[in-house]
Amino acid sequence: MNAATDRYMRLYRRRKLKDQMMTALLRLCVVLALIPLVSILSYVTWRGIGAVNLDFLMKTPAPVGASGGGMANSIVGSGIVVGLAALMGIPVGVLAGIYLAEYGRNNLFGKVVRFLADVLQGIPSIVVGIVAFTLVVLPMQTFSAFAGAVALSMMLVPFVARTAEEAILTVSDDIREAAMALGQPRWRVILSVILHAARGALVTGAMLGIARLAGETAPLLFTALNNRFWHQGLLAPISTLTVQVYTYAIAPFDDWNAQAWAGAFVLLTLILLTNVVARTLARSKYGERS
Amino acid sequence: MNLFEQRRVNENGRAGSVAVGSRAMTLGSAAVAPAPAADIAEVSSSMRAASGASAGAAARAQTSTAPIIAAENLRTYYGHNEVLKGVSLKLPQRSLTALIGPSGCGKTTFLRTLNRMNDHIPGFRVEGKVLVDGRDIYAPDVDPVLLRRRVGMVFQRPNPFPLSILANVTWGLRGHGLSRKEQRERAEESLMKAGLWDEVKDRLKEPALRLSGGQQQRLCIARALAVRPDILLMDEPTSALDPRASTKIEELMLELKKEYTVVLVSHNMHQARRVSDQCAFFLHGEVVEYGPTEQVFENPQDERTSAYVSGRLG
Repeated sequence: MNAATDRYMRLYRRRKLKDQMMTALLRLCVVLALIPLVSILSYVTWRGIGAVNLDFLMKTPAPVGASGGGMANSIVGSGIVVGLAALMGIPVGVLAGIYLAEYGRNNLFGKVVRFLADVLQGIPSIVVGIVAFTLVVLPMQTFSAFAGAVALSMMLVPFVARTAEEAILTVSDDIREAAMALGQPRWRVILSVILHAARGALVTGAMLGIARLAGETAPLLFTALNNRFWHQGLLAPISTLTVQVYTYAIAPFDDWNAQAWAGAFVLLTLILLTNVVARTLARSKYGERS
Repeated sequence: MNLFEQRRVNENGRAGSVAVGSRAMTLGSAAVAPAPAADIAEVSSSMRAASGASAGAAARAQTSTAPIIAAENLRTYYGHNEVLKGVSLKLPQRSLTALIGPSGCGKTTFLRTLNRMNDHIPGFRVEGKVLVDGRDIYAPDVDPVLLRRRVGMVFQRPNPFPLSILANVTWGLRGHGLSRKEQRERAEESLMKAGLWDEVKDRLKEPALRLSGGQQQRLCIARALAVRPDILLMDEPTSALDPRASTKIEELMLELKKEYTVVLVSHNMHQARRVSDQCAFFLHGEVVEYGPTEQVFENPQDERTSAYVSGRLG
């Protein structure tokens, strides 16, 4: 081997080594990122699963001092508050997303809305709670499921709007133009082609938004408040899993603490389920190229 | 392909303009003395004289070469960028006009001006006139949605919707007052015209995206035909396809031009020559030369045209 090829091979080997080192580093970072996630999941499962039983899932909290009881009212309550928030927030969010993607790509209004949506997403959720407290709880003179849902939907709208916008923008202009060229009004192009093509991403975005809401505590603390009984209508305080977990976790009773772990475990399971459902729904029958 | 040409003459008796097309094809590389060049004004005036212009299904029965599309001193701008710099063209009915020229010369812009597909591009502006059947399509009372039902379009890349094959073809029929059964019949008719029926008749409910590229493009043609346009704009419809699929589309074009006014943008000189009756050479936003295909290729009047068609300019 002459000197030139020798140097060439040396350079090549050095590059290869560098490549391998960097790949190993990236792998390490992935593992590091996964550590908290895995430890939370396993620790919550370990602490929580023992306290989950039929009573926990079917009964309301036992009177203070008595043992037993469950968080059934909180599970249902979370469903009601989050469901109501989704009902209010998703349509507004999706429509705003359509506007941003289809009509407001470049105009000033679109830019302002996009900016505000981003800002709104970054607002601490406790602040959202205070706003909802001021806007809903004070005028209505009562903590309520409705107030909690309003607080949550305030967080949902900007998130859904931005994910819907992104989802719609991923639909290629080819399809948009094909639909326009067939002589159909723009609203129908958007409704039946664009939204259809973006369906998967839209559903995923909405479900992820819902999953995020399900885990919120701060906005509910002084809007939905809490309740030790079954829900009493949308205009009464209502128990939610997160607030109940919080209440029980800081209580000085061991059995309450155990129930808090169980609540956390149930909450995690529900959020995980939501994600799985979202991904299953997102698969479009006609969207896949084979 | 010459068979198609021959049949076309027999069926429609449009010997005049057809002869031009078929001659250009048979000429190919053969060294036959080119026909004397007809000047563009002459071409269009003889075309206008041939028959009164009336479009639609009724008009298809008669043989007419009246201009169905006329651009008059058309200028278009994207922002401050002038793309078309005064284009005047008259395109005769039921024939195929090819727009050729190097990239960025404005031929696609011209094509998209004919069905107002550029309207949605920010900063786009039109000066001058585009007449379809004598009506200015940029007049304020013209609804681009209705215009596009008369002026269909096929794009460079096949772009079926992520729906079933059948739903793709019937999608454009909403608002046409057709029953489900009629829509279905229309779909069958269009798929036949697009030469796709035999390949898909047993799997109309399958996802359109499962078809091959060439089939997808023919599906897009069927989809456009289902709306029953008079004019069909084709923007390099074969550039994303393999040679065999391209040949099929080309054969289809020869069929389609008997019934529709077809405007084709093509980068493929051989294709333009094989399928078109008239040919317009665009350069830097202007039409350098426009005339019967044979003349443009065999006896170009402009030095730049001759440079382009012989491959010296691109």
